[in-house]
Amino acid sequence: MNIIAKIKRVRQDTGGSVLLLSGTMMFLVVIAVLLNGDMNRGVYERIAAQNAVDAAAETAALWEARGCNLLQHLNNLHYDGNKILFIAESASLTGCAAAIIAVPVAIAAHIWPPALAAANAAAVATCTLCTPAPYIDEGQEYFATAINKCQQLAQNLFPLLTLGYANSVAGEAGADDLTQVIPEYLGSLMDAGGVHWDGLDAVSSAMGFLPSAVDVHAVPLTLIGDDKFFEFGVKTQEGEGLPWKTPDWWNTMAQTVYPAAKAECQLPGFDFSSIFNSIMGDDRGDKWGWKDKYYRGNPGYMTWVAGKLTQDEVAGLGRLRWLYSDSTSGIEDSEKNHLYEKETLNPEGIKLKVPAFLALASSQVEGDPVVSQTDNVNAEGKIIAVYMPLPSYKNPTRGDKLLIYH
Amino acid sequence: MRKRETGQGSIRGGRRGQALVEACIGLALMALVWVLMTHVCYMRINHVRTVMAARHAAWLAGHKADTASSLGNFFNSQDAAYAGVSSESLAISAMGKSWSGADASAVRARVTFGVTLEQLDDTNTFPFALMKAELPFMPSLILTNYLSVDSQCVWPADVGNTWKDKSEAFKGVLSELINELGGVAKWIGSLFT
Repeated sequence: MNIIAKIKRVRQDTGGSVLLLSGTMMFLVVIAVLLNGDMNRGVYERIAAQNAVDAAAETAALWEARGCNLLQHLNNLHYDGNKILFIAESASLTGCAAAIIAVPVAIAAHIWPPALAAANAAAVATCTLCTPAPYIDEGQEYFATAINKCQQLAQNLFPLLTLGYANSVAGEAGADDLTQVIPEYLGSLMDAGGVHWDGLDAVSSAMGFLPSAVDVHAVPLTLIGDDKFFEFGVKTQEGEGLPWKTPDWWNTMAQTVYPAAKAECQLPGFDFSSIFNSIMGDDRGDKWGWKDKYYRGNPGYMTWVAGKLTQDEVAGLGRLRWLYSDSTSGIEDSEKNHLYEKETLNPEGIKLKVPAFLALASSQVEGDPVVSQTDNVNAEGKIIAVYMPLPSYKNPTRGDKLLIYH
Repeated sequence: MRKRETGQGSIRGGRRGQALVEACIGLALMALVWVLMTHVCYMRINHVRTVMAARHAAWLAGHKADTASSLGNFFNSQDAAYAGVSSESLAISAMGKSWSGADASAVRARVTFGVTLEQLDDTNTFPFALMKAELPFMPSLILTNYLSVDSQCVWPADVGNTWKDKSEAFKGVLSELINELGGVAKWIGSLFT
């Protein structure tokens, strides 16, 4: 049989055609399922990124709320302490006022001995009552300073705790290192927009050199305070009225009454002057009274970002170039990146990947903000609709539609 | 005896019914591929469901609620029987390093769908202990790798405790102080290792 006859016979042979058809169908089914697997992978990664950033936002809200409540407890402690000290000091100064009269009476009672004991008792009682006044006043100063120092520490520390805990929780929840995610994400954004910037490579490398002692998994887009990075949004406020501020007439009264009482209680003619000479404190001059500060404010909202790195596609589908439209296919660039992104940094050719994802979540502290005093400490952290920290969103409202590229 | 002739040769060399045989083989192979691919799709879809359920379960665990109730929201009623959820406490600090002495500051929820190792140990429910049988050269655990998917999510623990009570606040501050000192010590230690 010559070769031509053999070729003719093969062409006419229909044996195995059904198996061939079946094989082709199976191949198509497998490819379709693998593509479906890639799509699933993309959806999975997107949800995982959102989970991580949601967890970060709620953690941040929790620690902000705790910071607010701690500041409020300290405000309340300060308020209650001032109230008690004001009453105690007022009572002491009343004793001073009484001593101004009682001591001369006791000195005069030497003329009439039967009244001496009672007069001395009254003078000693009033002078004793007067004695703690400067100590109470000075103690209040230390007390207020200590409370304010604690509050200042909390104000500085809680933003760091918020940042640290949110970052840690996001990492544990599956967020990838943002220093790698952001360059990848920017690359896919620029690719989708048809922009190619070689400098992205350098940016990516530079971010890789960032200190690796603490991994960065989630960061806030919002600067909480008005002027400082990551300030808590709670500031000091001058107290008005009692017990934050003692009235002017009260201060004047203390400045007048105590030195006078002290002089009387230490008069040589008074039988117990030597005792009061040693125990009565110095006159505080114009330091009598107080004008304290408390903390007031609200952290407001925060928007967090976390992400997932690009993932290799299932089963090396990227090598099937016909799955990915190249420049000759006529499909626009923007349509090509819905599921896959092109590895632009690979000069060898096209490589398909499940893209990097960035996810956003916002949170805020609800309940009463930090105020001068309240019987109901009730700050709570909540996840809210995403608010973007853009100039146009200075006053965002619920339901604002935001364009977020994924 | 005269050989029975066909149009194209003997019975052994004949091609009568060949298309039928090929169709049977092809359909069987297609059915196998179809079943396998359906299983793959099914498990992939349920994998996505596990990550959603894990988030919800972690959120529930963070709010000290029952995590089991989350499964019914994400899996079909029959599939929910093959889904399981577990949660564990996680000690982390703001420094990102876990510290064994600290109170649990986060909770991890894991949702599994399919046949798990725990189920293999259970002789009362499907798929019974028989599924533990290993074929020659079959690596251990590979069965559950094919038959189950899982996802996990972490949420802050005790979300409801925002230190509204004075004693909680001061206890929390003390605990946090110890936690962070431990975290810092561990972080410093990690710089030298």
